[in-house]
Parts: sequence; C-alpha cells; structure tokens
Amino acid sequence: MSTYSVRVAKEDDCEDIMRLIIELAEFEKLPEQVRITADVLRKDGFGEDRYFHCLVAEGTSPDGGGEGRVVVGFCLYYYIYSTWEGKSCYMEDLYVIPQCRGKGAGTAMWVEVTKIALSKGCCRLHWAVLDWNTPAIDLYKRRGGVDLTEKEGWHLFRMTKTVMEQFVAQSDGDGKS
Amino acid sequence: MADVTVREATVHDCEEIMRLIKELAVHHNEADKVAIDEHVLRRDGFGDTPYFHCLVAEPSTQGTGQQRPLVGYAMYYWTYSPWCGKTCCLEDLFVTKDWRNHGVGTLLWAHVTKTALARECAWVHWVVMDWNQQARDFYHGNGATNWSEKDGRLVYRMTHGTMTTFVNKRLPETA
Repeated sequence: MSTYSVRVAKEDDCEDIMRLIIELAEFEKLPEQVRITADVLRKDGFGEDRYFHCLVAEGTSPDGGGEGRVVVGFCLYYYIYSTWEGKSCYMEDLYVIPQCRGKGAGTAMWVEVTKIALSKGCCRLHWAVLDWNTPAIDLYKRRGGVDLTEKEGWHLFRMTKTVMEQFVAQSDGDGKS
Repeated sequence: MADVTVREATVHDCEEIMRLIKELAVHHNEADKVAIDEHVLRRDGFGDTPYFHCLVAEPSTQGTGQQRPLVGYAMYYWTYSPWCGKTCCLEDLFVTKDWRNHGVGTLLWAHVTKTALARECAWVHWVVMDWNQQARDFYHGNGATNWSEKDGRLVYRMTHGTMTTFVNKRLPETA
C-alpha cells in the first residue's frame, strides 16, 4: 500500500519540481544538460500556453525533520498525436527521490497519468527509457509496457538548435515558396 | 525544385490530409492500422484545444479558386524537455509518390523547423523505422542525429487495452 498521495502540480511547486529534475539528470549522468529554471517551468506549464502537465507525489519528509508533507516525486507529461489513432499521451519524466523508492509512489503517479490519458480519450501512452536503466525497463515490462525499439525497430531522431538553424538557412538559400 | 506552395493547413484540408495519411500507412504496409477519419482530424486539430499542427504542400501552378489536391504534409506538435524547455515533435512527414525527389519533403521539414525556432524550441525530434534507410539517409544528410544510437534511448508504449488493465489493477477503487 502506497504511503504517498498524488496530486496535480501547482505553480508553487515549480521550485520543488526543478530540484527533482536536476536530481533525475544527475541520476541519468547528464546534469550539465539542464538549462531551464523554475521560472521557465512556471511560464511554460502554468502560463497562457501550456506546454506540459505535471503530477507530484507527496509524502512525509524522508529525513524525519519538519512538519507536513513534501514533494518526493514528479511525473511530467503532455499530449501528442497519432495520425493513425488520434490523441495520445507522452510521459516525459517519472521520478521519485531515492529515499522514497520501492513504496509505490512512482507507480501511483504512472497510474494516475494513465487514468488521465484514458479520460481524455487517448489511445496510447508513450515514454522513453535509457537502455542501461534495467530496473526501470523491468518495471515497465512487468506492467505491460512494450519496448517499441526492440519490437518494431523504431529509432528516435533529433536535430538540435544549431543544426536546425543551419538546415533552415540552407533551405532558405535553395529558393522557396 | 518542384513548384509547390507550403502553407498552414486549414479545416477544409482534412479530407486531403486524411488521403495522404492513408497513403503513408500503405507505404509502411500498415493500411489497416488507420483508425481515424477526417472528422476526428477536424475535431482534434481545429477545435478549441488543437492536439496537432499541420503544414501542407500544394502545386503552385494550378489556377486560383480551384480545389488543389495536396501533394504532401507535415504534422507536428509541441513537446517539452524538463532540461531544455519547449521542443517540437515531427509526427509525420510525407510526400505523395509522384512528387518525391523534388525537394518537397525538405521544404515541409524546413518550414516546421523554422516554426519551431520561432517558438524557441531547443530541438525537433521524430522517430523513423530502422528499415527505412532512404528516410534515415535523408535525415542524416541534413544534419540530424540518430538519438537511439547516440545515447541508447528506447521508445516505449502502452496501448489502450494495456492502459485499461493497468489502471483497473492499480486503482481498483476507481474502476
């Protein structure tokens, strides 16, 4: 039985969420890649245009100090689209601090996102995981997740900002509409 | 370079976009997987909460006022990186067979990329099937990186049936 509660993130949670984002980046051995701040999160998640949604898991303070509940995990997600099946949901980050793992908080947030996605009429839930993260892969497979890279051969491509600029400049130079 | 015009899709393009979506599914040998129609596209792309955006390519040479069949489309939506902020996912990029190899695909892709830059996106990302060497070469040739190869990222999915089973099992009190 989980001792944590899951709720929708509020604007005031942005500092806590940012702290956990940085922790997750450290866990993935890529902390130098975090470029945004709590203010950016606030603008992009709680402003006029919302680019993501977020759930947080709350529990009692893991170090035993303080009163009340603290944010011990987060799940950031957004809606995407399949031209074959319509609305889908993408779970971008799912993270629980190390001291609070193994007690169902992560699964609780994952289930809540899944429930929200279903209520919105989403036909799929997607996410990505690094190939060395065996505990996460095992958890996902146990709960019915399918590794599409393995099963169907999908590869994830990316073009970063500098390459995007070069590409557009070159394309503009080729003569356009 | 083919003489095409790239513009934002309107609600009136949904039948044509649907036709091209089905052509793309046939190209992937997955024609039976298309479960939506133009009504769903209309509702999801042109309602109060758009779930996607779309650019279309049409021949420039036909006269004005005539219904011009579309020759390609690029569907995309905004995504989010908790490390770098706003990003863009290119969901579909397709050019009908007779109009390929004339720069139409590159033009559509470049327009999406330009739009993403205007939005201050940190990157554009997409997926491609490992057997689609022609597409992979096309993307590599324009500077894109295979991120699955580079840092071992695997794409996971839970389909509707599995999602329902998962929620019913884990939240039986809300089933």
